[in-house]
Amino acid sequence: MTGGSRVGLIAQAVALLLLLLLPTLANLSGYQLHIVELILLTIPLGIGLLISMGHCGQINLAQVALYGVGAYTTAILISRAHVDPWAATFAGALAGGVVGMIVGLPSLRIRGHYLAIATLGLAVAAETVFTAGGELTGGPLGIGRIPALPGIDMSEGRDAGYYPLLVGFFAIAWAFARMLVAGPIGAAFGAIRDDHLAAKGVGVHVGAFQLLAFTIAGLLAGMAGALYATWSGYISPDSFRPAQMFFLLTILVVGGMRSLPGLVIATTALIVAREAFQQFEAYQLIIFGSLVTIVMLVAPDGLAGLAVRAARWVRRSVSTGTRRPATPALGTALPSDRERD
Amino acid sequence: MSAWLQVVYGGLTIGAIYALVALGFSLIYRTIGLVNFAQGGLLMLGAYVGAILLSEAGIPFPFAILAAFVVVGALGLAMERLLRPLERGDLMMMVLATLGLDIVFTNSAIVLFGSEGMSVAVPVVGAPIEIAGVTMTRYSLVVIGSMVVIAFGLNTFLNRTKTGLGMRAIAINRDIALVFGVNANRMNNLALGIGAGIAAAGGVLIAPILYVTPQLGASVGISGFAAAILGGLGNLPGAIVGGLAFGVFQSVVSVFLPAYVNAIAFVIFVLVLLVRPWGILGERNVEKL
Amino acid sequence: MDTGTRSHSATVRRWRSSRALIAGVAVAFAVAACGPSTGGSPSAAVSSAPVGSVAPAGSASAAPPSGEAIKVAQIAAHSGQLAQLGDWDKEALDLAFKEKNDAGGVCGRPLELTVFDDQGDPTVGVNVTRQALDTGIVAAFATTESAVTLAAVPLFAEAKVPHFTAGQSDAITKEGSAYVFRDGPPAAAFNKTLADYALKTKGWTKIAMVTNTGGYGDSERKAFTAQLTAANVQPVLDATVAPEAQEFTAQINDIKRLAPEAVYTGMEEVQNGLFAKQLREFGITVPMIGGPPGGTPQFVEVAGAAADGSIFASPYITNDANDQTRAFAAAFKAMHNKDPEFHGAKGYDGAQLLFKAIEATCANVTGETIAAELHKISGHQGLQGMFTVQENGETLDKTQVGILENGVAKLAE
Repeated sequence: MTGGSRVGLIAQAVALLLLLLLPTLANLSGYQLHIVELILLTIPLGIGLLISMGHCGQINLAQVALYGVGAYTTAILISRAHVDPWAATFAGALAGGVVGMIVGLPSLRIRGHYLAIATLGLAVAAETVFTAGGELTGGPLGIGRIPALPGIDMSEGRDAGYYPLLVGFFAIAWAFARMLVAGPIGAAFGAIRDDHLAAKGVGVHVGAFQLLAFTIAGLLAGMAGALYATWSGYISPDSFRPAQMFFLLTILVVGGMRSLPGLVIATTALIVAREAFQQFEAYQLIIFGSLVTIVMLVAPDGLAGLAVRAARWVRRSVSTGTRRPATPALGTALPSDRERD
Repeated sequence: MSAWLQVVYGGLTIGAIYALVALGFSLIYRTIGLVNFAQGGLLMLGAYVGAILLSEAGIPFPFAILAAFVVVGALGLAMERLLRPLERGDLMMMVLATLGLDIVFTNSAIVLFGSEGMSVAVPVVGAPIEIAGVTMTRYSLVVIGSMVVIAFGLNTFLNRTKTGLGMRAIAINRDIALVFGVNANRMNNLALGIGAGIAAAGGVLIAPILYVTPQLGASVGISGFAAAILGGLGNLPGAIVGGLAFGVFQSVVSVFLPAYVNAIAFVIFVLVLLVRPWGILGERNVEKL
Repeated sequence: MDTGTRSHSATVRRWRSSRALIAGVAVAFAVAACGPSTGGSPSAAVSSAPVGSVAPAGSASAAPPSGEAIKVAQIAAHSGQLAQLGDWDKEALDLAFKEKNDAGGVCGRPLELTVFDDQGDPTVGVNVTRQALDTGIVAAFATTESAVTLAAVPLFAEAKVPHFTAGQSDAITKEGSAYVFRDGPPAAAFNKTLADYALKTKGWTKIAMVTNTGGYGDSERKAFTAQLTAANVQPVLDATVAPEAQEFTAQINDIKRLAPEAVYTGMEEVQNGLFAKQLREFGITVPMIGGPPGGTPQFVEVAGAAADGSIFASPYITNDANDQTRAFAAAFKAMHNKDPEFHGAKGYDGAQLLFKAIEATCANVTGETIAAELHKISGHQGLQGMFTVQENGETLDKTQVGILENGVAKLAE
C-alpha cells in the first residue's frame, strides 16, 4: 500500500461518513431524503450495467427487468409466502443473479445487436409476466403494503430508517466493483470486450466470464430491486418497463461506460435533473436521447471522461505551456484507454 | 380449419408491416453495416406525416404514402450524415446512438403533435370479402398488396438501376465495389434514406388499423427488428418471410394466451436465435463466438 | 494489459475516484441546498399558473380573499400514455378553483392548486407525492390511475392528508385508509348498472367479454364477472388481451363463431375504439357494452362510425341532463373552449366536496380536520348524482346507461 492509496482510503472513509450524516447535516426534507435514497439504490443498479456492458462489453438491455425480478421475488415471498423478510431480500438478489445468468445465455452464441435485441426481448417478456401474472404478481396493480424489513427503525418514518442500510448497500456495491475491476476478473472482462477472439486465443474462458458478468449484473440489480420492494412498500409493472431502461443507459453513457465516479455523478445529476424538470418529460427525454447520441459521436468515454480529458489538457497546458501532439505514437495506448481498464 | 386460416390471415396483415420495417433494417444493415434502432421511430413519424396529410389536406391515400416516404426518407439521409462516424464501428455505440435518436423522435412527436394521438379513417370501405371461410377486410388486402408492391419496387431498383446495382455491390463486397468506383458514402446515404422511407410507408399503411400515437413505433419497431433477425439480418427476402412469420406467430399465440403474446413471442424468438443465430433464411456469417 | 503501469495507475485511479466520490457527496449536498426543507415549495414544484393566487379585482360580489393560501395539489399523469386523464382532471379543477377564488375563496383565504406530474408511474407518483406533502398541502387530487393511487395511499394516510382518486379500481377503498376518497363511482357501481341493463332490461344471456390485463381492464373484468356470477350467468367468452394489443383477429373470430347477444369490453378509450373499428370492419353488428370509455369523444375519434350504438355506463352521460350540468358545461366551455365530459365532471364534483369540507373547518384547516368533515358529507347533489361519503371513502354508488348516436351520447331508453 502506497501513501497515495492510504490517502485515498481515508478520503473515501470521510466521504462515506459525510454521506451517512447527510440527512442531518443538510436538514433534508422528506422528499429530498427520498430522492437521495433513490439515487443510492440506482447507483448499484447502474454498477451492474457498468460491469456487464462497460467492462465486459455485453449489451444488456434487461437490467431494469432484472431489477424487477428482484423486487417481485422479494415482494411475493414476503406478501404471499410469508417468508422472513431478510431471507426474502437475499432470495430476491439471488433470483436476480440466476435470471441474469439466463439472460446472459444468448451471449454464448451471439454478440452485438443480436444480443441487444435478445436481451430487450427478454425484458419485454419479463414485463409481460409481471403484468399478466394474476394473483401472484398482483397483475397491473402490483403488490402493495409490503412491510419494512424487521430491525429498521421506523420511529422517524420508513425513509429515515432505511438510510443507513441504503448507504451501506451503495458502499458495498462501490467497493465490490472497485475490487472486481482492478483484479483478474476485470482484466478478463477487458480482454473480452476489446477482442473476444484474441481473449479466447490466450486462454480466457470467454463464455464463463460473460455469464459471470451477466450474473453479477443480475445480483446487483436483484439486490437493488429487493431493497426497493420493502423500502417503497409497493411495486407494480410500471416501474420496470423497458422505457426505464433507457434512463439507466443514459446514466451509463453519460458517466462514461466504465467509470465508477462518472456513474455516481451521472446518476446524481440525471435523477436530480429528472426531478427538477419532471414537468417537461418530453423535452427532458429529447435532451437525454440527444445526449446519448452526441456522446457516442464525440465522446464515447462519456461526459465525465470528457471533463477528465479537458482537466488534464488544461493542467498540461498550464504546466508545460505546450500542447502534446494530438495523435499518440504508434503502440502507445490512448490515455483514456489506460484509465478505464 | 377455417378458424385457423382466419387467425393466420389476421397475422399476415400486421406481419406485412413488420416485413416493411424489417426490409428497411436489412437494407440499411447490408449496405452500411449500421443497426438502426430508430426504425420504429421513423415508422411512427411516417404515420404522423400520413395522418396529418390525410386529415388536414385530404390528399388521396397513395399520395400520403409517397409523401411520408419522401419526408421521412429525407430525414434518413440526414441521419446517415450524422451517424457516419459510427458506421462499421463498434456495434454497441451504434445501438446506443440510434436508440438515442429513437427516443428523440418519439418525444419530438409528443412535443409536436401531442400525446393524445390521431385517428385515420380506413380508406377503402365495403363489406369484407369471404374466401374459403376466411373473412378478409378490404383494407387488409390493401396492406398486404402494398407491401408486395413496395418489395417488388425495391427489388427492381436494386437489380435494374445503376445506383441499385452499386448498392448491391457495396453489400456483397465493399472493398471490390470501392475499387470499381462505387461511391460508398452516396450509397450509404441512399440506403438509410430508402430504409427510412420504407418504414415510413409502413407507418402510413398501419395508421388506419391502429391509432397514431408517439408510442406507435415502440412495439412495431421491436417486432420488426425481431422479424429482420429471424429472416437473417441483411437478407431482403428473409425480411419479408421473417415479418410475415412473426406476425402469424403472434396471432396464433394470441389464440391461446393473449395476455402473454409478447412474453411467448420473444422467448421463442430468443430460442430460435440461439439455435440459428443467422436466422431462418440468413447465411452463417453472423458475428458469433 | 500493462502490469507495469497497473499499480501506479491503480493508485492514481483510487485517489481520483475518491475525489469523485467526494464530489458526488458534494453534489448531493448541493441538491439538498436547492430547496429549503421547511416552507416554500421545492424547486421542482412547478406551480401551474397559480390558479389561486390570481384573484380578480373586478368581482364585486366578494372581497378578494386575503390571508395565507390554502394549498392543494393535483397529482396526475400529465405526460406519457395516460396524460389525457390528468389533463382532463386539471381542466375541471382549474375551473372549480377559479370560480371559488372569484367568489372570495374559502374561509376568506385563497386556494392554491399546484400541479405535479406522476407520468402514470407509481415510482414517480410516490416521489411527487412526497414532494407535494413537503409543500404543506392540506388536500390533494391524487391520482388518476389506480396503480399510482395504491402506491400513494399509505403516504397520504401517514401524513394525514385527504386525497381524491379518479381511479376506479375497487381495491383502492379496501386499503383501510381514512384519507382516501373517490370523486366518482367505483368499478362495482358501473358494472352493477350495466349488468342490470343487459340482463334485466334487455334480457341478454349470451354475453362475450373482452378485457385487457391492464389496471382498468382487470378491475372491470372482475367487477362484471361478479355481477354475472350473482345472476347465475356464464359469459360465452372471457377473453383477455394485453393492454398494448392493437389487433384483435383472434377475439373477433371467437365472437363471430359464438354469436353472442352483446360484447362487453373493458379497455381504455383508444384500445376500445380500435376494437370497435375492427369488429365492425368484420361485419359484426352485435352491440358493444362497457364502462365510460365507450362514451367519450376520444372513443368516437378513434372508432369513427363504428362508435355508433356503443352502450356505456357512466354517472355523467350528457351535459344536457339538468340545469346544474348545463351551467357547468357553459362555464367549462367559456374557460377551455370545449365541452366537458365525464372526467371533467368528476374533478369538478371532487373539488366541490373538498370546498364544502374546508368551509366547515375554518378555525383549524388541516388535513386531519378536512378528512373528518369529508366523512360527514351526506346527500350532496353533484353533477354526477347524490354524494354520500362512506367510511371507506366511497361517495357515489349509482351510474346510468348511455348510448352513442351519431357520435353523441344520449341516455339509453
